Formats: sequence, C-alpha cells, structure tokens
Amino acid sequence: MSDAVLDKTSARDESTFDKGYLGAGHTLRSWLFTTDHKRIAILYTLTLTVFFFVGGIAIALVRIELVTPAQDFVSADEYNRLFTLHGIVMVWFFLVPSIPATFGNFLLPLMLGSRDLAFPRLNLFSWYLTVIGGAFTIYVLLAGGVDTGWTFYTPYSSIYSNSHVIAAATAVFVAGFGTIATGINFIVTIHTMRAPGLTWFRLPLFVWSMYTVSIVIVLATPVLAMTLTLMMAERFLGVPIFNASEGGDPLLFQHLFWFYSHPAVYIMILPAMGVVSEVIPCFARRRLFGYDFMVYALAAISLIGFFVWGHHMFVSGQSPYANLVFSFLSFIVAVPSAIKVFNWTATLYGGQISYEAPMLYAFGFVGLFTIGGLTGLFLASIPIDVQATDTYFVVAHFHYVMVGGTVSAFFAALHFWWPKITGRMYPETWARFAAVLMFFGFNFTFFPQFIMGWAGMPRRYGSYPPEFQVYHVLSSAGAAVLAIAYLLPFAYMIWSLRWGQRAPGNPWQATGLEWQTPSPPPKHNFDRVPTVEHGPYDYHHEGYVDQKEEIAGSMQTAQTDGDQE
Amino acid sequence: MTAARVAPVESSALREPWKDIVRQRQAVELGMWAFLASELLFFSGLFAGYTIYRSLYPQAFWEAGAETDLWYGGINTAILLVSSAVMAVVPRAARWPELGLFARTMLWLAALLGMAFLVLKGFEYREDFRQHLWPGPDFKLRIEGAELFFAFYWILTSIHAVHLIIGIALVTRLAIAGARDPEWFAETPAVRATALYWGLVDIIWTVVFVVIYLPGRGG
Amino acid sequence: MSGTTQRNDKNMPTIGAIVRRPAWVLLVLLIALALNIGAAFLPVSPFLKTGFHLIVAALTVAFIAFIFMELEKKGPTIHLFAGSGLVWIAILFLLIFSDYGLRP
Repeated sequence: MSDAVLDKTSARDESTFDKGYLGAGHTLRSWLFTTDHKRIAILYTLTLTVFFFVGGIAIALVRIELVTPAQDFVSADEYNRLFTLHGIVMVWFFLVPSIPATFGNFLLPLMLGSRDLAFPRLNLFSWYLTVIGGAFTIYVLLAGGVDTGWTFYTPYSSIYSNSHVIAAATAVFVAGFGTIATGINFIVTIHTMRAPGLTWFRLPLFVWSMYTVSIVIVLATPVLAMTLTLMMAERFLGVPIFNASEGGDPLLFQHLFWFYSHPAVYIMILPAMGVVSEVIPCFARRRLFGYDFMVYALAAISLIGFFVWGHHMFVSGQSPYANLVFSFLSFIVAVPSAIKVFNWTATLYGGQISYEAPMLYAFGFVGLFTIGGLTGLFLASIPIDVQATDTYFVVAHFHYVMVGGTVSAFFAALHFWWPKITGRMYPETWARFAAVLMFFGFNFTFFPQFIMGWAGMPRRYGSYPPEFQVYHVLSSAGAAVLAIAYLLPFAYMIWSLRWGQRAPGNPWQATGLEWQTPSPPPKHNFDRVPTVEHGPYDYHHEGYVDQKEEIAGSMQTAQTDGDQE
Repeated sequence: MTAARVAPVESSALREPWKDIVRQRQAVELGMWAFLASELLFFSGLFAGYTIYRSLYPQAFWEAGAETDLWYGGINTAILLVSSAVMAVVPRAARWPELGLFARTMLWLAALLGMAFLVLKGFEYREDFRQHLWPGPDFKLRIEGAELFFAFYWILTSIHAVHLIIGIALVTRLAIAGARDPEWFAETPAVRATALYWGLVDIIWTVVFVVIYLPGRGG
Repeated sequence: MSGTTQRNDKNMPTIGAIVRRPAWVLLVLLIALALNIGAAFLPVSPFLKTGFHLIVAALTVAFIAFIFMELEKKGPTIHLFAGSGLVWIAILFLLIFSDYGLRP
C-alpha cells in the first residue's frame, strides 16, 4: 500500500482525509486492497448508497406510473421488472447488508476495543462478493430486467418467466455468501476479541444486535442459497423439483424461501434495534432501561423469528393446521419486540432529552416500527390476513418495518457516528429538518397504502380502478417528499466532509469505547488497549441530573450497574 | 499462553490483527465451526425437499433408489471414510515439525482418495446417462415421483462433488505451501480448518449415501 | 491446545500413537458401512430398514465429528455452534412437516 501518490487534499493540514485511518493512504489501491475494517465499511457504504439510489429510481418510476389508474407510463411488463428490481436491490443490496456491513464493520472492533475484525482479509473478500453480486444485478438491469417479483416464486421463475432469472438469482446467491462471511467474522470477533474486562453483559446492545443478527445470517442465508440453486437447476437443467406437472410441489419453494426470508426481516431490523439502543440513552442522558431484558429480547427475536415463516403462506394452500401453528407463533414473536419498545420508552422517562438529529431519527424508528409491528399482528391473524394478502396493506406493513424502521435507524446511525467516521460534524439544523421531513414523507407515502390496501387494492398492479386514485396520488406525492428527504443528507453530508465543524473524539459525551479514541480513529483504532470496568450506558441511572455534573461524574458515580428495577 | 515462545516461528503464521497464534487458531476454529453449521443448513434445504417428496411418493423413491449403482456408491463411501481417517491424522501430526513431512504425505493421500472418488463418480454418471436416468422425456422409469428422486440424486451428488473439488484444492494448496514453508505449516490454523472442511464433506456424503443408494434394495 | 508451541521431543507422539485411534475408528466405520449395506437387502419393511440406515448414518456422523474432527476435545462454545446446525435443521424439518404432515 504505497502512499507515494497523494491527492491535493494532503497539501492542506485542515483536511479530514489526512487524519486517522483516512490519512493512511490516498491511492485507489490503498482502498481496494485494504484490510482495515473502517475502510471496508466506507467501501460498503459507497456501494450500498449506489444500490439504494438504483432501487429508489426503480420505485420512483413505479410511483409515477401509479399516479393515474391507467397503464400509461410504462408497459405492464416493464412495470413488473421495475418493482422486481426495486425489491431485489433494496432487500439484498441495501437492507440486509445495510447496518451490519457499514456501521457494524466500522464500529464492532471499536466497541470491542480491538484492532480489527478477526479475519480482515475475509472481510475484504465479503465486500468483493457483494460487489460481484451487485455486478450481476447491474447486468440484469442492463439486459432487460427480471419480472418474477423479489420472491422468485416457482413455477413462474423456474419455468415460465422470459426474463433474466438466472443472473438475478446468481446475484442474490453470491451476495448471500458475502453476508455469511461477514456474519462469521462478526461472531468470531465478538467471541475472541473483546477488550480486557468487556464481559458479555457489558457489551453495548449494538454489539449484541450484531451478534444475534450474525447468527441469524449464518443459519438462514444458506437455505436461501440452496433454494435458489434448486430453482436455477429446474430452470437451467430442466430437472423437476417444484414443477407440479412432474409431481413436484411449488409450495416447497415457498417454505424454503421463507425459512430464510422471514428471518431476513429480523436480519434487517435487529441491527436497527441495536442502533436505537445506543442513540436513545445517549440523548436522554439516561441509562438504558432493562439492559438484560433487551439482550434476552434480541436473542428471543432471532430465535422465534425462525418459527413463523408460514404466515407468508396462509392463503397458499398449506395445511390449515400449519396455519394455526404459524399464526400462534407469529403472535409470540411480538412479545420480545414489544419489550424492546417499552424499554426504549422507559429509558426516556425522567431523562434529560435533547433533540439532535440522531435522536429524531431514533424517535421516528420507534414510532414507525411500532405501527409496522402492530399491523404485523393484524396480519398474523389468519382471517384478517386472508382479506389483506397481496394488498397494499401488506406493502405498507413491511415498509413501516423495513423503511420506517431500518432506514430510519440507518440514518440515525449515520448521523450519530458521522463525527466518529469522518472527523466532521454534520450541519445540525439541516439534519433535523431532514429527519422531520423523512418522518413526514414516509407517513405521507405509506399511510394511504394501509387504507387502500384495506379497501382491496392489490399490490403489483400497474393499473387499478379509479376509486383508488386519490390514495395513489397521495402516496406518490409522499414518495417525492421522501426522495427529497433522502437526497438532503446525501448533499449536506458531502458538504460537511469539507466544511463541517471539526469533530472532537466524543462530541455527544456518549459512553462506549468507540468514543474514547480520536475522530476519525487511527488505523490501529486505539493507541492503548482500553480496559473496561463497568457496563455500557454509563449515563445517569435514575433520570435528570445537571449535565456538567453528570459528565464529570460518569467516571465515578454511575458505576452501580447491577439489576434494574 | 504466557509460556515463552520462539518469535520467528510465531510470526510466519501469525496474521493481523492477532498477537498470539494460539488465540488466532482458536478463532479460526470457531469461525470454521460456524461455517460448518452454515453448510449443514445449506444442505438441509435439499434433504428437507428429499424427505418431503419421499413421504409423498414412497413407492417411486423405493423403485428409483434401486436404479442407483450400489457398487459405485458403496466403494465411494468407503473411500471417503478412509480419506477422513487419513485427514484426521493431519492436524495431530502437523504441529510437530519433525512429523511435518508425514502430515503432508497424509494430505496428498487424502487428496488422491478424493480424486479417486471423483473419477469413480464420473464413471457412475456416464453409466447413469446410458441408462437414461437423467429426468426428461427419455427417462427410464414411468412411475410418478421417480424423476423427482433423480433430480435430487443429480443435485445432491453434484453439489457434494463441488464441495469435494474445493476440498481437494484446499488440501493440495496446504500440502504445497507446507512443503515450501515447514515452519508456517507447523503453526498455521489452516491445517485444522482444512481438516474440518474435509470432515464436513464426508459427513454430508454419509447422509447422501444412506438416502440415495440404500432405498429399494432386496425388493 | 496446550503445549502447541513446545518443541520438547519428549512430548512428541510417535506416528503409531497418532494413527492408532483414527485407524480403529475407521475400522468400526467400515464395518458399520458393511452392516448398513447388508441390512438394505434384508426382507423386512422399508420403514424399519430406513430407520436402521439413518441410525447407522447418525452414529457414523457422530464418530467423524467427535473423533476425526476432534469435537470431543472442544469447549462448550464450539459444541454450541456445531449443535446449532442440527437444532436449526430440526426447526426446518419440524415446521415444514407441520404443513406436509398435517395436510387434510
């Protein structure tokens, strides 16, 4: 990694690009062959940002089509390809890797007080797998797209579809192994690289969320890989697997697919919960309420998440007795999720709350996730699901969880750790404005979808009866607002890299090892291996306290981190 | 772990960010077991599909199983069992530099056994094609569900073969790199990781053999 | 894992000592394979035969994992990870058969 070629910024000692790990090399080579987890996190962030906008453009075209009831902007076939592309890209090239691959990669070693992940070269390899998978997706896009929907249901995908199914499935397959590699890396890192004194129940919840999500990734993703392999074998080699005319069962595909894809929802939401559990205590200046229960809830969600996949198949023709089992189990999984929501709320109680942008995003997360979760309970109930299956009600439900939840948390994390990652502060006023706009735009887009879905508007149609137009127009207008809310951070974050205020090591007076090193952190993370003597969230453990006293006192007073009330 | 260590030997296998080869080895081993759990789930999708179809078409699976070649399957199973026993010796021996040559010889032996498996598999596939056992219009059996059995036969055995090919490549690489740098060979976690992977390939085959080759025998 | 870095010849096992245990286990596994193949030709119900095959396969897998792959010498964490693969397979089979096993 030669530093012989320096870019112009190195001439000015002001530049954030010369500090810490960012200054460890300015060549393309120093980035593409880096094994530094922080640089790999940046590579992931750039890659995922590209895919976020690819998926966003696809859905923008869909929303434009839906402004009028007639199929007039794109053809029905193009419409199918657009929403499929949106789904595949957003699920596998944004949401699933989003928080783990970017913030997880960057923060996990910092939070653990270690120099890097356990297997730095494997980490780089994961990124390359994601990029190769992404390249297949781009190929699909340029070659004309795929029209199966993101779920690749057989026998349509394996026999009938005349689109680029094999390339799209290969993209998902390859990217999936990238995620598995990241998961294994995280698991081993958390097991073996914790700083002295950092016991399991002193780990920040973000680390716990990375641990549980990694387990889910490692155990669920291979089943998806095999499912897609079987589908591709049927399509490419002509061997019958799911083909009913040869005695096969298309439902087998759905079972195997959802064995992965329901836990995949938890792959998306668990890291978001981890982020919010870091942000809320910090800006409430209050110790996280019920730390132990938050850990158990994460574990319970990741385990029970494997037991509920059949609720995606209530109307598929699976056994009605199986429906009962899966319905019951789906209600169960709401319990640990509710525990988490209540604990976040209880953390706020008596706190000294301030409303910086990360906190606004975190509030957005809690509210939208709660709506998404509660409507999930509606759908877990079989009679209601039968009515709502394949309607916009379902679309709105999972967007509240995945976009309102995960994407809000992604932006909370982006703002919260931006000073640490870049060494610059983002512009607070703009950020608050964007956070509020995002919350508003999100509800503007998706709340009408609950209503029209309940009224019977089916998903995946480019034309519809005129009585639904008002909701579609509202939704499309909201999407435009949402698009602006996503573009704003993109603009002011780039602005802040050059003109943002210089960030100190710990701008939020937050606890956690990642704040004990300079911003941006040096290449080796810590000059001295930190030692941990107490639990996380060492803010005030009761509630309000004078802020100055609290910061000074966080060293001595709040060491009592036993059981909570 | 605080025992005095010879620094140059350590450094040849030690990788960033580790400061301690013992710790690094433990980490690789844990990672490898997590990967093996992942691989088990990868194959479980296939086995679940097989089990479901077998429960739906027991008679067809019974008749179709009888069409597989038990000689090839049985001999190949024995070959893989021997190769795993051979591979089991490798990590036990490789850590002693004096036994390094022996360990590398065992690696070559395991790789050769793996290749013997693949060669036999190739002959078996040729025989299967001749007998029209590839699902399609010319398929040998008429009973509904038999084609499903053979769909699983081809996919299970070929994905297993891909794993075996990867295994042979890893073993060969280890043997060559170990001969080039015996000090590294004595310390590297790659020895145990490779042996674990080889064990998994045999474990998968053990189940494949039972579900593919044994049904339908003796009427 | 203790003593991995020691270069003391007194601790070094002979090749015979290293080979002995895997060789015995191999012998057992080959006999089990022969038994399994032999059992396939017995004139009993397919259900019983398949059950027997699977038990023998499970024992073979256990021998490979515990002896050849040295799972016997590992700590609880690795046991947990190795076991998690099996537990999750059990989840998959159990719930997938809640559909196929209970179809009216």
